[in-house]
Amino acid sequence: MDTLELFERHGDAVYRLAWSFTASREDAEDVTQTVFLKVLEHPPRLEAGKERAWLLQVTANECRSLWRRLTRRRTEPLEEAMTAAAPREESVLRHVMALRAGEREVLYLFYYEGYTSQEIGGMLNLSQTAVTTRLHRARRRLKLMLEQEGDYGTQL
Amino acid sequence: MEHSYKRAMDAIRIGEECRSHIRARLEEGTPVRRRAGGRRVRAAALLAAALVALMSLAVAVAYHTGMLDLFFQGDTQLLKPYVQANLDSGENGDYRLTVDSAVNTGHVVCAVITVEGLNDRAAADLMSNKAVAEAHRDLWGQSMSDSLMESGSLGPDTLRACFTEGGEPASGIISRELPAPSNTSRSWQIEISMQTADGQPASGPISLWLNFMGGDCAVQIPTDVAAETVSLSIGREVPSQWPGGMPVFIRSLELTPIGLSYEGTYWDEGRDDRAVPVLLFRMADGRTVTMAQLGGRQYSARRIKEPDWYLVRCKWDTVLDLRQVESIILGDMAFPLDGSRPRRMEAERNLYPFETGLLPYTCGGVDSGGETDYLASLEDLCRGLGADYHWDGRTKTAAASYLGTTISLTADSSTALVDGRPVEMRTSFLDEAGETIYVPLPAVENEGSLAASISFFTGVWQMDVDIRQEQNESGAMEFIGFLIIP
Repeated sequence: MDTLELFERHGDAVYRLAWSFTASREDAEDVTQTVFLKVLEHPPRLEAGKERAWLLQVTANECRSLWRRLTRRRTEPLEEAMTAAAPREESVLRHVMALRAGEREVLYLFYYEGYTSQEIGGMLNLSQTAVTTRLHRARRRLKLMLEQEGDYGTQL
Repeated sequence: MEHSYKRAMDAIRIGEECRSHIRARLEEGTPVRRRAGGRRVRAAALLAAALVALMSLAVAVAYHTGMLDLFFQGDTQLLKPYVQANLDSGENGDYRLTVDSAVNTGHVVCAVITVEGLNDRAAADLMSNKAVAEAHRDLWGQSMSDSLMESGSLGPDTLRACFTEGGEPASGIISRELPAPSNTSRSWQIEISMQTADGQPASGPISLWLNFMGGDCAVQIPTDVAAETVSLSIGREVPSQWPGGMPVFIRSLELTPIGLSYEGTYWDEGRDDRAVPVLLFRMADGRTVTMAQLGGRQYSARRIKEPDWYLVRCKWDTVLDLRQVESIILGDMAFPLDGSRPRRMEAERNLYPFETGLLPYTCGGVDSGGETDYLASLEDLCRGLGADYHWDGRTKTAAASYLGTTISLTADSSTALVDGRPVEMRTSFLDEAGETIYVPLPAVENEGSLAASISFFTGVWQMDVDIRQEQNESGAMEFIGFLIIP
């Protein structure tokens, strides 16, 4: 699969993970571009079906690299990052953005991408228990925030 | 909320301007840089190599004789017949990778490997970690490479393994570096789960290689000599180890001397918490042993092909003599290992989790060093454990005995006595009434809130704790710990 095809298939997934980590549209776009240009420069020999996991792993690493380079964090209005979302979803995202970067990252990989905690551990170079901890904390904090807002419906 | 989250994330997409820009860059293309250096081949047997082989043999002897003690605690002799030594080695002109010893424990293959630099430059690169760091630069970036030079660790990409038959990648490798056997070689103890990256059980030999040596230098780890396993059909629900938690449906279970695996459910309905069953072993001498007493923990959980079914693996540090295990107790039923019919059996209640109140550590003014989250009452812990507890109000000292080990704590002291031996711990805290001694629980960041051990009990009394925040009747938040008993 060539790089352009990889981008068309997995570009949004890469961007969502980058956005989850950086909480910034601009940074997420930078990361997305960097990831795919790296693929173009160093095409990996990947087994079929493993491309997405590999790209997300590279993305997570690139996010950390960017994080270290930046001297200050940018934040932006949520509205700028979302092209369209119902008020309920926007509310959920506002609370998600209040979580720590590492928590948002595992939340995305777990709930959106459907990876197991062990798979996420492999991608992020974390122990499985560290992943479980982040998930556990993220769920607990989200639940608390939504309860305080009277907005806690079904459990995450 | 999970659905709301997914729907919300669906709306997060690359902006069209950025998308077009990236497309244009990719369509334009960039010349692909080829890595320098050709394919490395296994070196022929040279005189120099023969000398090195003698050295590596000495290293192998050093590590395989005690290799079981590197991985397991207690009497490891039971696994000795399954240890294979002086196994395969592969090399190129610069490095030699040797499997010094390996043991297939049933679900996990434990091995000791040694890498040796075969010339001055390679040895220097190996010992400085440059070989590892350089091999990460292309894909992981300069910062990762710098970080590996600094830490000396293997990084995420050095160890590679696949199952030789079929070539399926292994699910992951856990490694820990051992003291360097010489000034030109390094050794690691590694664990490879007998599971593919897709979570399916695997069999057959394992090919192992290092990315900086290349796949051509892969070595074979045989898995044909494996420790005894016992398979049981269960087909029933088992209570969760968390009070009020979702029960786990276990379809089948396989027990090995150092762990077990079961096929069953894993998440509760809301995917709010893992559904973890209580697993107890009834020994032939009538004792009941918990998984925590064996130093056990959940090792991995992988979704298997059927939806919502998982292969869950647990592993412990102490070698369990399966001949001494009469049955495994799941809920109110005991499943004999000899395959005879399950029968009703109630294990001692104090082997099940109990609830205890916790205080945020700031209540005690304890200097946590940023690591302690909560304090627990030692008396409550002992009551739940069924441990002996004695409080001396005059000396403000608590003595607690459990499973043959006595711990003595004095309020506001950072030294505990474990069977009379002084052990440094974080300062314990005496409540305002001066009647209850509180002990610090460790941070949950490193090991996970579901698997934290009470700091100074580690290695003495195994204990896991799950901490939850709940609102009491007056609306105040309280911290509740559910303790999993050794």
